[in-house]
Amino acid sequence: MTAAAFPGEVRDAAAAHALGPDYVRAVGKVVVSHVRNELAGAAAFDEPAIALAPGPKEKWLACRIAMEEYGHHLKFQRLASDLGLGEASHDRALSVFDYQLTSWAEFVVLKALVDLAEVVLMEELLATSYLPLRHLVVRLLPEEHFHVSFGKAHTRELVTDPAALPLVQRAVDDLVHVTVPFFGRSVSVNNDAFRRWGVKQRTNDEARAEWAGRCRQFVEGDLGLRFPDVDRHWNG
Amino acid sequence: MAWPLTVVDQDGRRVTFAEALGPGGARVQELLDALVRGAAEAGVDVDSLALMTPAGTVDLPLARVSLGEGVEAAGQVDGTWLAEVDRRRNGCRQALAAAARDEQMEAALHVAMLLATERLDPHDDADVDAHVASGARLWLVAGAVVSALSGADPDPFLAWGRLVAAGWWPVGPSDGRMVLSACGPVA
Repeated sequence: MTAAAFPGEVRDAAAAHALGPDYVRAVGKVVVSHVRNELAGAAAFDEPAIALAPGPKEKWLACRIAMEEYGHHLKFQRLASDLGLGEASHDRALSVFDYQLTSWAEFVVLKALVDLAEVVLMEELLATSYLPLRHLVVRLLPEEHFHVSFGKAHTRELVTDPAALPLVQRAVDDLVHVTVPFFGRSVSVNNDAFRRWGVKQRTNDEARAEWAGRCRQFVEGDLGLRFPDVDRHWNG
Repeated sequence: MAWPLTVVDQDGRRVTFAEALGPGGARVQELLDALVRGAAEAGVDVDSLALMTPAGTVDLPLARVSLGEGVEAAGQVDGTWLAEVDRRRNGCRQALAAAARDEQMEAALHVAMLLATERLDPHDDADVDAHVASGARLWLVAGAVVSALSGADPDPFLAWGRLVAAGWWPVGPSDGRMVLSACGPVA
């Protein structure tokens, strides 16, 4: 079956199971990746950022964002449970979450660039064949957009200080480098299945290129900094 | 999320959330009850409670301000005062950890944040001020939960926990005033 061969919409978990284990496996992998990543992101970046915030306002914003990311984790977990997938949080998170956050500057650049990767992946799910996932993403995307706009606004603020430019540039270089694998390998059996079942529409490389293009526009256009070369192909 | 919660304990008995949390659980449940009742809660002496901050009672004129003014004041909040609030908040967490009650603390925080994150949700996803206020109130709720569970007596977060539950955002001492912002009805 090709991607175009499955134009349907799957209304709930029972309908997903009625389509068979291949469909459940495909949609389940996507849901579980969000269960894992939202939790890992909240724990590795958003919670530590509360202590790195330079002032009370930033601290409260970091609190709100951390709680939203944790809430996203719980909502994706509920979707996973509905599909009968059980507890998914203990699986290994992606390598981007190994990044050691040491400064507020890194945190705001991270929200601008790494959360944009999450936005790119979620936007694609607005057309996913699994309707409970589509509906959840409709609810969560405004919050994810806020996280990115928060990161962009605070990064723009930082670069008004020439002394901060090297720190921001280094954060951009490091974070772009660790986010490239976030979209998966160019040759991906999983992505083939996602597209075959209409869970996703794009290849991993297409999603990576979309993210890199939007990041470049922000980093070069808005910040006036250098955006590192990103090869749309990645195979580990 | 449904409230109040009933919990099934290790022996299969149905117990209240307060009972499941052990010592201090009743105070946590009271706080969360108040949060769920929200702005409808009557009999809250706002003027007195606002001066009873988590870092001690202050003797400052009270200024009730709009959300926007509250956010502006938050930027100027007394750093020494905030550090003391942080210290007391961490002290309660450490006391619970020292008593090997991490699990109960995590459960209490988990449930409190599930209830509070939605009830203190910024109505406009693009409104930065509303996010600042919401984050501050969540931070105070978390402090109030940990403080209540730790059995701290007097409980430094009790007064401000009540204010947050009743729909207020106590901002803190700022520019010679004790600033309190009205956040509107709790959803």
